Amino acid sequence: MPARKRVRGDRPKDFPSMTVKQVMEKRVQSVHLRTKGDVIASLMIEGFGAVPVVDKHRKLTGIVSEHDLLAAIDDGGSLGALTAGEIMTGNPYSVRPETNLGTLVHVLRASDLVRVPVVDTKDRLVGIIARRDVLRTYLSTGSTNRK
Amino acid sequence: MRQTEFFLKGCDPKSLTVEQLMQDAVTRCTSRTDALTIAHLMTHRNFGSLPVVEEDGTLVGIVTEYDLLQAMIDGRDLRKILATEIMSAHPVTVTEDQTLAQVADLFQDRYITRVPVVRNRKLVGVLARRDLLFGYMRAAQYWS
Repeated sequence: MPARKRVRGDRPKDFPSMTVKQVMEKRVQSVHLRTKGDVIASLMIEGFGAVPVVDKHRKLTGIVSEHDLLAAIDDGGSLGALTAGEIMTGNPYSVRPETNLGTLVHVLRASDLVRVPVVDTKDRLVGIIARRDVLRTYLSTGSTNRK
Repeated sequence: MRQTEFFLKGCDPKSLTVEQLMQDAVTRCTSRTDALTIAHLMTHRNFGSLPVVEEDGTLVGIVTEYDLLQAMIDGRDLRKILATEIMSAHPVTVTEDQTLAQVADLFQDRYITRVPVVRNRKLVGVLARRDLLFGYMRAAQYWS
C-alpha cells in the first residue's frame, strides 16, 4: 500500500499553481477486476463516491462510481453477482501528479467529476484527488491573508 | 437522520420513497451567507453542496463545490462573495412521495449527486446518491 505521509511541505503562495502531488490522497483504496459489486457498495457507503479499479501491476483500468452501481441496480442486477470488471467505466479520466490545481479544477468542472485517479507515466495508480481535497487545501493554506 | 437507518426488516427496495431515504434537518445557508463560511461548512460536515433558502425556508438555489473552486481559481476573495452571486438558481428538486426507482432515473440522467427535497417550495430535506445506495442495501438485506 502507498506511503501514509501527506505532502504539506513548502506552500507556494499562488494557489492555482500548486500541483496535484501536494494535495492528493496517497492512501488510495482500489479494487480488482474480480471484486464483487456488493463489496464495492459497502466501501462507498463507508466513505467515498468512486473507487479505482487496477490490474495486478497496479495499472489503472477503470473506475466504479455510485453512478455505475445505481445503473447496475437499475438494470435489475444483483450487486453480489456482479464484478467490478462488469460494472466499471473503462478507460477513465486520470491526471498526473505534476498537474497544477488550476488545470485540475477546469477538468473537474468541465467533466462533472468529483474524484479523479492520479497515475504515473506508466499509468500506475499513485493517488486520488477529490474536489473536497482542493477546497480543504485552499482553506488550510490561509485564504485569509489573501488580498 | 434517515428513516432507512432504523429499518428492522427488509422490504422491496424499489418501493422506498424519498421521505424514507432523505436526510432531514439539513444544513442550509441564506443568499447573504459568504462563500468562505460555506466552504468551511462543506469541508467540516463533508458534503459537496449546500441549499440556499430564504428566511421562511423557501428554496432559492444551491451552491456546489464547483462554484467555490471556480471562485478560488479566479483569485477572488471568498469572504467578499455572497451565496447569491455563485449559486445556481432554480435547481432540480424532488418531492417526498417520489419512489427510489423514479429518483434513481433522475440521478442517472442528470449526473446529480445531491438534490434538495421540497414541499410547497420549502426545503424539507436533501437526498444524496449515497442515500439511495444506503437505502437500497439496507432494504435489500433481508429481501429476495
